This record gives sequence, structure tokens and C-alpha cells, in this order.
Amino acid sequence: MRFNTDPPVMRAVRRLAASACRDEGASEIEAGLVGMSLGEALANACLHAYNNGIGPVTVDVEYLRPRMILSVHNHGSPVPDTTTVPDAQPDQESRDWGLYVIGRVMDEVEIERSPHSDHGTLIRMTKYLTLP
Amino acid sequence: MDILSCHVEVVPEADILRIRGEVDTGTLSSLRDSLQPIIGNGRHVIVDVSELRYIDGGGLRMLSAAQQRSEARGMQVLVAGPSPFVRRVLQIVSLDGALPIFGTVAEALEHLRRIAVPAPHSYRDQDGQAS
Repeated sequence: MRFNTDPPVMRAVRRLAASACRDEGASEIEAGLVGMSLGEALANACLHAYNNGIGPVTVDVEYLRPRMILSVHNHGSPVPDTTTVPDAQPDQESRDWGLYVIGRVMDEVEIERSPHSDHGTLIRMTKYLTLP
Repeated sequence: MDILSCHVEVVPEADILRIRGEVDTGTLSSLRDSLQPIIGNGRHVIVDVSELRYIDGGGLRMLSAAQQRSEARGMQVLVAGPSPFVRRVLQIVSLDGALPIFGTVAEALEHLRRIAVPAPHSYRDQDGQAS
């Protein structure tokens, strides 16, 4: 799906992802955490790619039981090529809290930076759901 | 209905910030506007999250910064009433160690009353040194 990084739209998409996980049998907490990771990736697009503004993102959700795979592709400025998922809690001024949260929640995180200045960044996140 | 509402209540032991709803990109400024005036004013702060349904990385960063600012002034930021989800989020980002967590606001207040009371047999000499 493709939409703009409007906060109310991002909120709805984040809730949708959590709902999809619940529908597959994930616990309330795990579903909420997956939704949170998607919300962080969208907020990062808003903050980094569009300078805290609004721009287009493409979100793909793929479910290969038990793997929930979420991809967020923005079309703004790509992240610096040194960007990695922080291992430790960032300091208070850091803009990496979103990536830190994603790294703590999701089992696999890949960041692909476009070599083109207007093709943004793709973040692909995988969670192995704990199913009953 | 507002996505997020913040309300500050002043009691003798602390300022209580009651957060209700969801903290995300669209509502973060409301939390900032409520939190900033009460952090660093020389009082403890209890953040009542019993009706908080969601908090994102920006909100967590704000709580962490508030805790550090308060601690620098000898005060505490305490979290009260987290849902299992919010409690798990605090654990995941390792904020549960820095932010004391209590089941209810009453428990957090009780904690503040306890730490405010000097030890029963402590003695201070004329220079104010405890022994």
C-alpha cells in the first residue's frame, strides 16, 4: 500500500499491522510490538526522509507463517550510508531511538539505502511470531 | 475524542502527570508541552500511564530525558500503572531500570513518603553530618 506520512494515517496503518498479527494468533503484546516497529519505521521516514514533513511511503506486509515481514520504502532523502541499528540505548539527543526500538523488537532488520538522492531508504523487518 | 490527553495534578509529594491515549508522532508535542514545565522544578514527578495505550520511541526518549534531568536535581521520575504492553516496551528499551515502576499512583506516592522520612535512629551533628 502507498500513502503519505500523515500522523493519523500512520497511526491507522500501525494499528492495522498489529491487528494482522493478532488475527494470526500472536499475543496482544507481541502484536502491539510489531505494530510499534512499523510505526517507528514510518516515523523515521517522516523525520529523516521528509525532514519531519509529509511524503509518500510504500508499505508491504508479507506473512510466511510464522514470519511477519514488513517493508517500508520512502522516496525522500536516503539515510547516511553509515546508518546501522543501534545495539545500546541512544543518548537523549539522538534521532536513532526509532531504529533502536525496531532492533530490540524485530528478529531481523535490513536497511537498504538507495544510491539515488530521491529514492530514499528501504527498511525490511521480520518478526517470527510466537504462535499457540 | 483526543488521541492523547495529559493532565497534571499537584500533591504534596509530587507532580502527577496523567497520560491517557496514545503517544506517537502526531501527539508527541502534547506530551512535551505537559512534561517540560514540571521537569526540573525541584519536585518528583509521577507519570500515571494506567490509561496509556501506546507510546513510541519519541515518547520513550522524552521520558528518558526527563528522568535524567530530574535525577541531576536529586529528584525522581516514577512510572505508575503500566499495562502489560507498556511495561514490556519499557523493558525492551531498558528503561525499566532507570525509571522506577509501580503498580499504582498510590504505591508510587508511598515510595516517595518512605524515602522522604529520615531513618529513625540517624543523628545529625552540628555540621549536618549523618552518623
